[in-house]
Formats: sequence, C-alpha cells, structure tokens
Amino acid sequence: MYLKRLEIANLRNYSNQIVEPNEFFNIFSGSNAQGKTNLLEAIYLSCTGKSFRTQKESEIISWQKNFLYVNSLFETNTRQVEVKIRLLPHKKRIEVNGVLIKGHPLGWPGVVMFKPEHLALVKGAPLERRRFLDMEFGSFYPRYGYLLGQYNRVVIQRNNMLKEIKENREEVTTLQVWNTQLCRYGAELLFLRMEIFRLLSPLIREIHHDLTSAEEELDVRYLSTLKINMPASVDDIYDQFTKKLQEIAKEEIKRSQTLIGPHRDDFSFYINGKDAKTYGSQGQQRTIVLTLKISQILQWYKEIGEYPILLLDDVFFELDKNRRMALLKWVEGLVQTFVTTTGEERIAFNNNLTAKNFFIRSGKIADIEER
Amino acid sequence: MNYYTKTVARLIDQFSRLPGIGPKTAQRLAFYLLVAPPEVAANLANAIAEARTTVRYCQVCGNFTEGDRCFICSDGRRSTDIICVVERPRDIVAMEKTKGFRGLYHVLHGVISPMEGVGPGQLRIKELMRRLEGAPVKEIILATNPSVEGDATALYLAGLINPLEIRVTRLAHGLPVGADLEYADQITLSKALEGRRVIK
Ligand SMILES: Nc1ncnc2c1ncn2[C@@H]1O[C@H](COP(=O)(O)OP(=O)(O)OP(=O)(O)O)[C@@H](O)[C@H]1O
Ligand SMILES: [Mg+2]
Ligand SMILES: [Zn+2]
Repeated sequence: MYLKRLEIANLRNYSNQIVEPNEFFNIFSGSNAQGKTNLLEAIYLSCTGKSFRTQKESEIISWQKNFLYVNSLFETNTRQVEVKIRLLPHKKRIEVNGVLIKGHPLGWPGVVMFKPEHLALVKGAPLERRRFLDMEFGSFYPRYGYLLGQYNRVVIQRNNMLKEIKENREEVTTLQVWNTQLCRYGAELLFLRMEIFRLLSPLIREIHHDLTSAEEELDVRYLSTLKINMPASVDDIYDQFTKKLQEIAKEEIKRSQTLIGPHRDDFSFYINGKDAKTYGSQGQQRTIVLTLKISQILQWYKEIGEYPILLLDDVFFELDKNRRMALLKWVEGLVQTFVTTTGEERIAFNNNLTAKNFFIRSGKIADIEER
Repeated sequence: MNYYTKTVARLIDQFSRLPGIGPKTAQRLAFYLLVAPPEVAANLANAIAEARTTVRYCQVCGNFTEGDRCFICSDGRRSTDIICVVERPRDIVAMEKTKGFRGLYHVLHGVISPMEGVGPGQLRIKELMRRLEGAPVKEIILATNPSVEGDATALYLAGLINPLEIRVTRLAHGLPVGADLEYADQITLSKALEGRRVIK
C-alpha cells in the first residue's frame, strides 16, 4: 500500500499543503522546528485516524484555527482508498470513499512508526515494553485486545478485593472468584504472548543478523512472573497460575497487589548473549527497535497481504551506512518509506528506484528534488 | 450563565440528573412542560410522586411491586422449582420479553464490584439462600451480565449453591461481551437461555 496524495489544511504549522510522495522513498529535510515531524503526523493520522504524539487531538489543529482537514489518497493492491478526516476541537469525522466510519480508516493500522522515544523500549521500564507488545503485536490477534481488557479489569477489581480482605471487610474466600477469572484470562493472554514470541524470535534473529552484517545474534526472551517457560497449553498455564496464587496469597493480601501475571511480565533482548538493557550502545538499541519494526512490517504482510507505510522520525540517517543499506534492502521497492533529517543527506539506490526529497521551511514545502 | 429564571433553571437541573438526559434534552423537556396545558405537568408530577410512594421491592424476589409480592411471585401458574437470578429489575423485563422462561426470579440489586465497595454482603444473597431453604428448587439460572463483575458474582453464587445439590446454570455465551441483558435482543437472549450450561 502507498500514499499517493496528501492534502492538509490547518494542521499544526501548515496552513495549506499538498504532498505527492514518491511510491517508495521520501525524505523530509529541513532545520529544527520547521514541520518535518508534523508531516509524518499528518500521514499517521490519515492511516490510523489518530496522532502518534498526543491524546488531545485538538492540539494538532493550528493555533488560531478551529478545524483541520487531511484528505489522502491511498493505492492498495486491490483498490484506491480516499480518506477524509475533519477535526474540530471536540469532534472528529472520518470518511472513507464517501462513507462515514468509526475506527481505523483503512481497516488496519496501515503504518509502522519509529520515533526516537521508541529507543526507550530496550532500556526503559517494563511498562513500555508491555505496552509495545500489547499495542503493536497484540493487534495481529483479534482476541488479544478483548482478553487484555478483561484481564486488566480483573486485576483492578482483585487489587481492591485484596485491600478489603486486608482491612477485614471481606472474607478470604471471596477472593476465589477473582482468582478464577485472573487465571482464566491471564492464561489465555500469556499463551498468546508466547505464541507471538515463538513466531517472532526466528524472524527477529534473521533481520537483526542481516542489519548487523552477521555480527550480532539477537535473542528476545519473555520473562514470565509465573516462571513458566514453554507451556503445553492454556490449561497448563491456568493450573500453574492457580497454584502459584495460592502460594503467594498472604503476601498479596499484605501488599494489596496482584503480584504475578501478564500485567507484571517483561521481556528482554540479548545481543550475542549479553543483556542489551545493561550493555547495549545507542546504535545497538536503535538497531534492535528497527528490527522489531521490520518484523512488524513483514508480519502485517503475512497477515493481510499488504505492506504498511513506514515512518522513521530522526532515525534513518542516524544509522551507520551499512545498517542503512541493510534496511533499504528489506524495504526497497516494497514499503513506502518516509524519513526526516536536518542534514543534506542523499541516498542512492542500487537499481533504478528514486527518492523524493522535500525541503521543509516554516510549515511549507519550499523545494522538491527527485533523483 | 443565568439564561433562565430560578425555577426554570431548577427544573432543567432536575431533568438533567436523570440517566440518559443531557443538558439539551433537559432544556427541551422543561420548555415543553412550561408551554403545554397545565394538566400535562400536573399529571406527570402526580405520576412520579405516586409511583415513588407506592412502588417498593417484592418481599420474595426483589422485583418492583405495589403489594407485598410482585405479579410474578403471586402468579400461581409459574413453576416454583426454577429461579433466574438477575442484577436488576429491568433484567426481568428483558427475560420476560423472550417468553421462554416460566419460573421465578431473584433480583440481586447489583453485582460484586470491590472497586465500588460492593461485596456479597451488599447484595440480596442472604435473601436468596433463605429462599432456597426447604423450597423445592431444582435449578438456579445465573443471569447476571456477561461482564467481569457479572461473572464473578455468578461464580460466587455457584460456590454457595452447588453444595445444596441444586442444579446451577449460567446463560450461554453468545451474549455480546460487556453488553447488558437489557440491550440484548430477544432472539439472542432466548438462545442464551436455551443453551445455558451447568457451572460447578
Ligand atoms: N497546533 C499548532 N499550531 C501551529 N504551530 C504548531 C502547532 N503545534 C506545533 N506547532 C509548531 O510546529 C513546529 C514543529 O514542527 P515539527 O515538530 O514538525 O518540527 P521538525 O521539523 O520535526 O523539527 P525537529 O527537527 O526539531 O524535530 C514548531 O515550530 C511548533 O511551534
Ligand atoms: Mg521532528
Ligand atoms: Zn417477586
């Protein structure tokens, strides 16, 4: 899938702008604070109906304006999709090929984004990694979101219950109904997560191997607070979960917290056997996240037969030359890519593909060069 | 912000406290009553006051009633050996519309929800257990909503009732997740009733 045309009005520092990207590779270049990331935001908005920067969508509307619109035209394997998004301070309207819709304009996210904040994925708090796993990989499974929602609700209720018991307002036996549900949703959720890791680890290994010119072996390991490694089945997890809860019941009541389960799990990356959280360099972290993003792209292709658009905000030219070339090999000719840079970099393709360079100045495309 | 006189503002305010009524609808209702013939407002006020003073909970099942027992509990043709346990009186209405259930009901008036401070003690569970003592009940259908809290309540009740050697069943899934019985259409609800499963 690729974006053929984008028309924006009153989006952040853009008043009116038309962008006609190259089918394969696009560079937004310019000094700081000129509007490069804002353009990526407009593309992301067209694909997902949401911003990757803010929950408060009214922030995207230009100051002194009271609405914005983004009209975009996508070319997919099978059809043209015209997405029209209108945003007012408290209202959003998404029209796809003339029909009003709720949710994803394209029926799937259609975009993979890598922004500098994602570097925290390797060294940051477990919460970041869980969120990434749930949002980015969970969406491959229709049931994942449902299970996660139910599970999280049970955790909240159960924590409240533990507190009631601690303060002698409820009997310990009432906890049983929450244990049953915690284990039921938790077991299925954990099983899906392990399934994701099982599918992804060989792919991640291969991509990373390639990005690092065969110098690094990347392993990713799921760290379960249940200390379950390779469960045979959901029932198997359920039984082990139930047993472990009984063992730690006293501690849980004392702390009024559900101490084990998918909501406390984590995963970590190992480069040639060394924990990247402790030893990884900046570039290594960047490469790991890039590996994850490429694996997502390939996974989407496997799921729906269509490549998502790739947005790289200040992370492409920060890679060394070899990694850049390796990345291009994965995406060139297949994945429409947008990158930003403050420099004057050019890229050269090996074949007859071209890249389009947009020079951005104060919320305007000042110049275009295609070569 | 004072667009209305005090009494009009008060009327709008009272309306907008009602569930499902926003400020705009509240204003519309208030203005309607102010221009309609006086008896429209008087009849409404009387109906509200009368309903509120005469309607109470059925002593047996917890449904709304004007006497001691609701019309279902006092209907001799209904089977007394099967009781359907629901969260709220309005769920009885939903179940009755299916016309597929001829037993009695028991209203819990809520579900277990620790985050709202609702435990088994706040629900009409003791009343249910007392009802079961000595009564010839063969089956209890747990028809709490298919939410995390509804499921927890059903599991809790199943734990209490199973030792009494009464069959305990739960409405089949197929009800939309998180949906209220109230909003389930009659066909879906009938199917859920037919396909109910024993829970242990
Ligand atoms: N709602 C808004 N209305 C108008 N201008 C805005 C709004 N939100 C942000 N801006 C402006 O947009 C500019 C930032 O644009 P953007 O984030 O795209 O910069 P950039 O080119 O990516 O810069 P950098 O290289 O620093 O990342 C800032 O000048 C900011 O003041
Ligand atoms: Mg930027
Ligand atoms: Zn009754």
